[in-house]
Amino acid sequence: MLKIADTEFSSRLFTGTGKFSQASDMLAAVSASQSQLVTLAVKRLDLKTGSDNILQPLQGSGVKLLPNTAGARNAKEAIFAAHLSREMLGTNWIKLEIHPDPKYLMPDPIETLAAARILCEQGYVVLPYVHADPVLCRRLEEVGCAAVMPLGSPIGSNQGLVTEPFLKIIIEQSNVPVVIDAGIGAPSQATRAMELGADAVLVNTAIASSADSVAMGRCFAQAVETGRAAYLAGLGSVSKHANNTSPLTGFLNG
Amino acid sequence: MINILLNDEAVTVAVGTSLTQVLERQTIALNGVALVLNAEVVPRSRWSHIMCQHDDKLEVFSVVAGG
Repeated sequence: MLKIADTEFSSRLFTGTGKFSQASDMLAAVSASQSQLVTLAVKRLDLKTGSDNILQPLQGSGVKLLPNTAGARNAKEAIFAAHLSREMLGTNWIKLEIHPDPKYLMPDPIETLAAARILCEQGYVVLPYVHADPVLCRRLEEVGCAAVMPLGSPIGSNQGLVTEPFLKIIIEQSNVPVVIDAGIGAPSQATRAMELGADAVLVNTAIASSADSVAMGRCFAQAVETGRAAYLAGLGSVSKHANNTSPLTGFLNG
Repeated sequence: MINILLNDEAVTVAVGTSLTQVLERQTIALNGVALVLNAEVVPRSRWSHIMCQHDDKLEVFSVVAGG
């Protein structure tokens, strides 16, 4: 069973709650996905329109909440967001994400490492969203992060595992769980991530932007289970030339 | 009475009004919000002990959907 910090998860699919057309769709899709960890963002309350009303049903469903620091442009703002979400939700878990560039949303590695070090010292369970950089992932592990979350491709792009060769290195080297986050656009890509040996995947856009997000949530649940089972079973090695699966001698010579 | 800014909106409250009471009067549910007073995050345990001061800048944050 997957364990991050002190929490065990029977599902290796984590889900985001953004981009759904309505809250009820999100709740139904999360339920269908069997995800036990969902991400949320923090925002200043609009006094006129009120809150999103997603918190209570999510808390009632029993999923663990993972607030993120989206919107933070540097370590200082990310730490502030972590403090906010701890008071808000009573959790010391934080998805650390610092991406100042709005076009590609590439995570800032320097600010992320700086914030991770401080938040870990303050007792947070830190899950940093980072580029698929094996050196950075090791550094984040060294400062005490509970997991690392390298990207497959840019957030919300559905491009899949563009970074696959580097994800393999991260998975090989990591002593903490590796959660492939961002860019997974199809269940087959989630399967691939799990076949590589990822500990979990985090999916949002691919489910939220589907015409049938509930069905897609279910598909991702199956995909992640299949990929994990295939990893445990052990993939065969890849060869550049053919290896016969039937005997090639004796038939014509009889 | 004293004036405070609540999420940039001017609000008038009685002297001795606690942060918790500000939320209650605005019918903001206490569950799932965080408070920032003059740019400092206020621990939940202190909300009912801190009284508003003139020109305080109080900000209320809540969760929204996100990835």
